[in-house]
Amino acid sequence: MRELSKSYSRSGGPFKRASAHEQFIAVDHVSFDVAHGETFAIVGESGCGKTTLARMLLRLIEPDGGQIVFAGRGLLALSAAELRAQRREMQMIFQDPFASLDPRMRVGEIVGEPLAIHEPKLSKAERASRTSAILERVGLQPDALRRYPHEFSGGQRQRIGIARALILRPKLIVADEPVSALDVSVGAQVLLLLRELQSEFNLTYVFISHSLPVVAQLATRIAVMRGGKFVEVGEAEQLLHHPIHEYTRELLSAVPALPVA
Amino acid sequence: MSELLDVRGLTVDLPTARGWVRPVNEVSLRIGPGESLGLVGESGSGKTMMALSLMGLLPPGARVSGAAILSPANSTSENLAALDEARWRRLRGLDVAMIFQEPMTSLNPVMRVRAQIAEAIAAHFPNMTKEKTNNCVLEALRLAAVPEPSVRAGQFPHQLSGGLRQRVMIAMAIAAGVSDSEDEPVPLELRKPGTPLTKPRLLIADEPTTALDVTVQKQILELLDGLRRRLGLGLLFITHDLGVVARVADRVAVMYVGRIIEQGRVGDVLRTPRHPYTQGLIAASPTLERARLSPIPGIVPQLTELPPGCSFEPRCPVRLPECRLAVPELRDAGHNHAARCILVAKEVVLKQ
Repeated sequence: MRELSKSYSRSGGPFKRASAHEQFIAVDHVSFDVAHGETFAIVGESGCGKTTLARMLLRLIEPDGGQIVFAGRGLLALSAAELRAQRREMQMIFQDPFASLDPRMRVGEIVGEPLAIHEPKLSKAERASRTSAILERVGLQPDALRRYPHEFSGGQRQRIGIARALILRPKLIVADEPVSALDVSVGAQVLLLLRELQSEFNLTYVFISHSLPVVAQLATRIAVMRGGKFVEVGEAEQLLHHPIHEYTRELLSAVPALPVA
Repeated sequence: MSELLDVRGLTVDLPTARGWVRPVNEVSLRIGPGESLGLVGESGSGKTMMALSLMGLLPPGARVSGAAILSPANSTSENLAALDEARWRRLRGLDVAMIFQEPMTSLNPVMRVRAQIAEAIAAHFPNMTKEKTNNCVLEALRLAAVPEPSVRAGQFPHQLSGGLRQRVMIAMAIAAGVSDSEDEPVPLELRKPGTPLTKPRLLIADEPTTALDVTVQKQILELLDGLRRRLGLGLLFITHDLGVVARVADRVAVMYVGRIIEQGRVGDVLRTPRHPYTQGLIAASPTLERARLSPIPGIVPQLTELPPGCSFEPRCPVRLPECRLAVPELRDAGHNHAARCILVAKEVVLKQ
C-alpha cells in the first residue's frame, strides 16, 4: 500500500497579541509524517499549540508557512473548490459534544449533510439508508434520525459526531480531545468504538489529547508538544516506559496512578 | 474520636417538570478532623447535589431530610441539613467552604482578585479595616501558594492561568479563617505565626482539578494536602477520576444514582472492589498501560426512570433475578469496607 497519509506540516501560525509588535507563535515549525493506518497522538498541556496544529491539518486555520502533503497532494496550494473535494478524505471529531452539533438540525440531517454536499446525486432514500447504516454502526438506534441533539447524552452526541465524520469514508480522522468531556465509562466506550472503527474502515488517526493514559489506549506513536514544538516523538511503548525528554518524564510522573490489586 | 462531619440518611428531593426526583438518597458518611474523603461518581450520581446540600446551596424548592452534623472541636454542633438561610450566611465560607471545578465561572470577571477575597472576608467581619482586610487577603494568597501575592491581588481573573485561578478560589475559601481563640475569633493576619487556623472546619472540593493540566493538578492536590494537615480541616473531595482519588483521599465513597454503593479505605476499594459498578469504573479507567479497557455497557439511568430494585442491575455483568426485587442494603465486606450488593451478603452467608 502506498504511503496514504503523509502529513508534513512545517511552520505555523503566529497570533498577534494586543501589542502590535508582539507576536505569539502558536505552532513553531512543526514537522511530522503520519503513516497509513497508524494512530499518531499529539499530547500536551493547555496552550501548547496542539489544537491549533490539529485545525491547521485540515486547513480550518491557515498556517503561515510550511506544507501539508496528503496522499501525495500538497494541501496548501489547493483552491477552495479543490479543498472542498479534498475534505472528503479528511474529517474531524471535536471535543465538545454539545457545541459541535447544530441544535436546530435533526440528527439525520446532521449526519447526512456531508453526503448532501459531496454526493448530491444520491436520492433521498439512498442518503437516508447510508445515514441509518452509519448511525447503527456507531451504536445508535435508527430512530435517532428524527431526533434532535439535545435529546442525547454526551457520549451519544460524540457518537453522532463520529458518524458524521465517517459517512464519507475518509482516510484520515483528526480527533481533538474526543473523550475529555465525557465520563469515564462513556469515554471508554467511545475509545473502544474508535479502535474498532479504525480496522474496519481502514482509518488513520491523528489523536490530540492532554491525557497520556487516554492516548496510551490507541496510539502507535506519540508526540509530546510544548510551547508550539514537539519535544519528543516516539513509538508509544517506548515513550511511555522509557521517556527521554525531561518534560515527557514530568508529564508521566504527574499522572495519578491507580493502585493495582 | 468524634467525627467532624457525620452524615446520616441525607436525602434531597427536587421538584422538576416531570415530578419530584431524589438526586441524593439516604446518604451516610463520616469525615474525621484532618481526614480526606473522596466522593466518586459520574454524571447523574448525585455527588454535586450532595456537596451543595452541605453548603446550603441547593436550588429553591429543594427538600432536605436526614442529618449532617458538623461537630468541630470546642464548638457547638450544627445540623447542616436543618439550617435556615440566616444561619447559613454565618457558616458558609467560614466553617464550611467550597471550591468548584471551573474557577473562571466562579470568579467574578470584572472584579480584581483582592476585591473578591475581601468580599469573602467582609461577609463575616464587616467592621474590619481596609488595611487589616488587605493583610488577610495577602495571607490567604500566601497560604494558597500564589507567587507574588501583592501583584496577583491586583489582577483580574482572566489574567491568571487555570492553576492560579484555582489557587485564588482556595484562598477565598480560607480567607475568613480564624486562629485558635476561645473568645473573639481572630482574623488571619493577627494570629501568631504558626498558630493553626481553626476555620474552615470542612472544605468541599468539587472536581477542582478536572479542568486543569495534569502537572498543575499535581500542585493543587499537594496544596490541598498541605492545607489539610496544617489547618486540620476535613476535606470532602469530589471527583470522577479514580487516579486522583487514590492520590488525595484516605477513604472513598462511590455514588451511583443518588446512593452510596461502596465505601472504605481507598486502597481496599480500588484494589479489591466489592461492587460491580466500582469494578466497572476501574476497568473503564485508562491507565498508562495499554491494558484491556472495558467499558460499562449501557448508560446511567435518569432519576425519573429508575429500574426496580438495584439501580445498577440493568448494566450489571453478574446480576441475578433477585436483584430486581429490592434495593440492596450496604453490607460489610471487610474491615471498614462496605458495598451495596447482594453478592456481598451471599459471600458472608457462604463463609458461614
